[in-house]
Amino acid sequence: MDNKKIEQIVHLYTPKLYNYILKFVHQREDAEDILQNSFLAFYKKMDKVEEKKYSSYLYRICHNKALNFLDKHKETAVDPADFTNIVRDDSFNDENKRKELMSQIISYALSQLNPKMTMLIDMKFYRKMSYKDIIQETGFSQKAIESQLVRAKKKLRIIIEDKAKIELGVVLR
Amino acid sequence: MKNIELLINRYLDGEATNTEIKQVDNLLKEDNEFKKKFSDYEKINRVLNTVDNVIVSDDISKRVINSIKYKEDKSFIIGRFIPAVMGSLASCVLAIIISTSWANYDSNILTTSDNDEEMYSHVVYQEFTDIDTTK
Repeated sequence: MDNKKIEQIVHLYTPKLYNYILKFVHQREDAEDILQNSFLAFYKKMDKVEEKKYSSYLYRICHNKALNFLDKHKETAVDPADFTNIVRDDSFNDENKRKELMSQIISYALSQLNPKMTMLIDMKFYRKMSYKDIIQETGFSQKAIESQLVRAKKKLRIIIEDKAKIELGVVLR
Repeated sequence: MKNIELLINRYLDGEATNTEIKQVDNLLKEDNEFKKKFSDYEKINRVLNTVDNVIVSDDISKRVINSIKYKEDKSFIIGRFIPAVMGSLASCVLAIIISTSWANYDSNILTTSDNDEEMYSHVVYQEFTDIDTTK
C-alpha cells in the first residue's frame, strides 16, 4: 500500500468529511472517531475502488458510520417533537440558541436523506461548490446533480415542516 | 421533475444563465403560483445556509494518519510476525512429539524383551507343569 497516497487522501478529505460528519454528530470527539474509522474502512478497500469514485465512496462510508453512531446513541438523540416546544420557548430568541437548534433540525433532517442527497447538499451548501466542481469530484452528470438536489430540498422541507412540525417561516424570522 | 423546479433551484444555487435569471425575475412578478414555489425553495436554501462549516485543524488529519499507520503496523504484526512465530512453535512442538515418540518406541522395544523373558519363562513353567508325571 502506498503510504504517501493515503496521506494525501486524508489531508485532502479530512476538512470536508469532518464537517460533513459534524452535520449529524455534534460532539467533535465523536466526529473524529467516526472519521478515523471511516478512513480505516476506506484504506482496507482502497485498492478495489476506482480513483474517480474515492470522493463518493468516502462520503458514503462516513454517512453510514455517522448513522450507525446515531442509532447506537438513540437515547441522546433529539426528538423532533421537542423542536416545536423549543421554537415556542422564549429562549429561541437568543441568537446562539437559535443557531444551535437550527443545526439540530438540519442534522435530524439530513439523517433522513440518502447518502447521495446528503453528499450533494454538503457540497453545494457547505463547501459552496459549483455544479461544475461537483461534476468533477463525483463524476455525476449535471442532470443527476440538479434533480437529486431538488428532490433533497423537497424532502427536507417535508421532514422539517411535517415531521418536526416546524414552520420554516418561524425559524427563519 | 418539473422544469420549473429545476429553474428555481438553478437560480437559487447561483447556477442560472442570464436568460434564466430574467425568466425567473419575470415569473416572480407575474405568476403567484411560481412565487409560492420559489418562496418554499428559498426558505430551505436559507435554512441550509444557517449552519457554517468549522475550520478543521491539521492535527485531525495527523491523528487519522497515525491511526492508520498504527493499524497497519498491528496488521503487519498479526499478518507476518505472528504466523512466523506460530510456525516456529508448531515446528518445535512437532519435533518434541517426534522425539518423544521415538524415545517411547525405543523403550517399548526394551520393555518387550524383558516381558518376553518373563512370558517365556512362564510358558516354559506352564509347559513343565502341564506334563503329566503320573505316566
